Amino acid sequence: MAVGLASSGHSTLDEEARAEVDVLNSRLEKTTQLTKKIQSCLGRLDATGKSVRDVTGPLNGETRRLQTLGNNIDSVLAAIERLRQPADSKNDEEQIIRVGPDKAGLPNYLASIKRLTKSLTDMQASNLRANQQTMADLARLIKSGNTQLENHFDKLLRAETPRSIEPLHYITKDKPFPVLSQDKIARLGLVYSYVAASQQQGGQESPVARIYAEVRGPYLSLSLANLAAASVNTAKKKNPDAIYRAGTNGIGTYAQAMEGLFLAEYDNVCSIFTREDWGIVFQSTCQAALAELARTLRELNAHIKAHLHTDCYLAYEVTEILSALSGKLDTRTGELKGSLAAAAKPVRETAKSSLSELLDETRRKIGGLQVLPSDGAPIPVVSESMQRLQAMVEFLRPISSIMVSLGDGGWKSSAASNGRSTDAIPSLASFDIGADGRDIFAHYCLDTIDVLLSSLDQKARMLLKGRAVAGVFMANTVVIIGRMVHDSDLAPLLESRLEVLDQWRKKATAAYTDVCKDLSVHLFDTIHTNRSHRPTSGPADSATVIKGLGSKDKDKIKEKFTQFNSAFDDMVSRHKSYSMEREVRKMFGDDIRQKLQPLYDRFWDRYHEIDKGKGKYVKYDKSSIAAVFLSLAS
Amino acid sequence: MPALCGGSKTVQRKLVLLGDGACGKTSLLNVFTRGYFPTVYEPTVFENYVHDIFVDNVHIELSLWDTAGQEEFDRLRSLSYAKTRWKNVESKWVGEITDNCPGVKLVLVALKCDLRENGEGEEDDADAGEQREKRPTITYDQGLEVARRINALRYLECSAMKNRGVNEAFTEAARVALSVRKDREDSKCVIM
Repeated sequence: MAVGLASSGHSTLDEEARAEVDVLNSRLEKTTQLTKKIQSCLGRLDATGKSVRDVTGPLNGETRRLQTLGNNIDSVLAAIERLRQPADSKNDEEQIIRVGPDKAGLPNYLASIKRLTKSLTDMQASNLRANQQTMADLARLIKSGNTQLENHFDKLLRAETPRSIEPLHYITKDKPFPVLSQDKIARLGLVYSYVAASQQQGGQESPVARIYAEVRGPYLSLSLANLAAASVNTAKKKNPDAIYRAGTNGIGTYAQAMEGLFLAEYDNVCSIFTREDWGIVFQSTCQAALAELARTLRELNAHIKAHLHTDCYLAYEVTEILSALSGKLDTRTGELKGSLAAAAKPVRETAKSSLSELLDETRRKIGGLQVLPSDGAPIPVVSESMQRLQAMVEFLRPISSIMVSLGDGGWKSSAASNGRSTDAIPSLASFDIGADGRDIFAHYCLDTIDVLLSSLDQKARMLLKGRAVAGVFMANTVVIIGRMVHDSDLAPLLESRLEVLDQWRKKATAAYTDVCKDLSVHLFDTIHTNRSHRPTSGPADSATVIKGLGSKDKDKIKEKFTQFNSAFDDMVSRHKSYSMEREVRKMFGDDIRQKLQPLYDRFWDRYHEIDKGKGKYVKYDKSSIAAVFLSLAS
Repeated sequence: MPALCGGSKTVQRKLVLLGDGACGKTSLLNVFTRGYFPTVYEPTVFENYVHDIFVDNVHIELSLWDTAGQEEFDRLRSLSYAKTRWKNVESKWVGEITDNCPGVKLVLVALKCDLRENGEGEEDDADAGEQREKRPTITYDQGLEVARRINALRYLECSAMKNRGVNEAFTEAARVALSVRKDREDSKCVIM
């Protein structure tokens, strides 16, 4: 320590140092106190700061919210400003709307109305009380604008739509049916697309579509009215017995016109409307014309039913024409199939039931016969029935389709004849996979032939006296049936299936030539092998044979000749008295000749010497009887 | 001891011979009723021989109907009813018989069985075989089979030319005819 080293000089120095230490100590003291003060100050400050923070935090959030609110208010004000703008432009648009699409120009008009609609939508969105009045005005304006548009559509379309056209003009000249002009279609399309867009929310039929159907529907049905009437008129008969001839009814032209008109109309519809509306617009446009068709077909059906035996063919024709029409329209448009089927249904049902009814009628007619020609002449019901089949074959196509839906033998069921639809209750037969209409029709023909033959056979047995004349009558019937098949379009269908006629022919021939049995008895002789004079077999010498006979045997031979002669002459005169078809006379004549001539010739060869050529017993020699036999066949 | 004919009852029966033309019906009848074989062929139109025989002690008056086999006489034949040929037995004759005389008893007789030997055991057909023509003949079994099919009551074979089996054929046919009591006539069908 330095203090220790410097004793004298050191004492002042010490003093000074001591003083300095004191000073320093007191400063330290002060500093310490100050520090304490500062510490307490800091403590206080801290407490104050905390409370300040607690106060200013929420204050800040509020300020921010206030700022956002301020911005929002600004935006709202701007929106209101914007919203109010159209209300201001309302006057301009109103002018356009009031002037109408004609004067303002359709595009201009549509643009205006679109703008108005948009404004209204916006206003409805904001729903400001301040705009209430304007919104009402706008709505009124838009409504009147739409109405004007519809009127415009209506006017345009009406101007383009004649009251009616004469379809024959287009059919006979093979000209396409008229469609709406391109520019009109463009304008109508424009209106429609606006209306369709604006009406979407409604979900109901667009008023424009309704207008379209209202304007075009009458045009279609009026244009077809004459042909509809003509179809009914041409069905009326001058001669009640005349069989309907294919193509003589107006229905063909009617259907042709309908096809042309409908297809042209479908083109119009497709050009104006959007795809999803094509069907509904087209359907409703054609509605009136289809109703007229249905009415016409009902009238035709009543006519056919009243004249079924002559006019059933018209039912077949109508069925075919309508199914063709429906097919063509369906291919092009995919529409109307159901309506056309419904319209055609009564006629088709009549066509179907006609088959069994006609068969029953034949049966009834024959059953009701009180008398048959006593000479075996054929009766008209045979050729009438065959004519009916001949006429039917001209309608083979529709008949085939009817046959298929009827099913093989379907005409036999009583269900088919009592007029109820057989569609509803299909018989198993109608599902017959291989059922071919042609074949089924052939079966129908064979059934008809069978009904004819078996019921006539029954009648002939009841009403005609004797098997011979019944044989003549049946053979005539068979021959007429065969001939009428052979000489007509029935031939390719039936000729190979007519074995049944052969059987009847055989039966009839057997019945007629039964008489040969009685005649042949007179020509049968008997040789007793135990007697002496027995002729050699083979050609005999008559003189020798006669010589070998005892007088009793000779008498027998004489009697045989006599009896044969009278029975033969009787047979010949009766044969000539019968009324026979040429073929029948030949068939019977040949049959008799083939049966009797060899027997007679043999008998003559053996016994003609019985009267030594005087002709007392032997009336016919071989050549003279041959001539008689030949005469039987011609 | 020869019983007198008059002693017992006499029955009448009818036999109709049917078969194709020239199959030998007439020859068969000739051999049977007169004992000789005719050398000349003359188509028959119709003949009716009444011939007496005794079968099982019964006197039968057989009415033997010879018929025309030729097609040209088809219609005529229906008057005496019946018809025949080998292949035609089933196809033609049986049908014709049932048409004209349903229910009648049939006996099938094959003719010209001598042709079989001529053919040196080949299967020759007895059918209508004109002399040297080599035609196939049928065997016994074939004939039997057809007889069965057509429900013939007997099947017999014979040769008129060699006079073999002729009497047997008629006797058997008569026997069959006899078995039919009250019924109508019997027809016997001869097949070539």
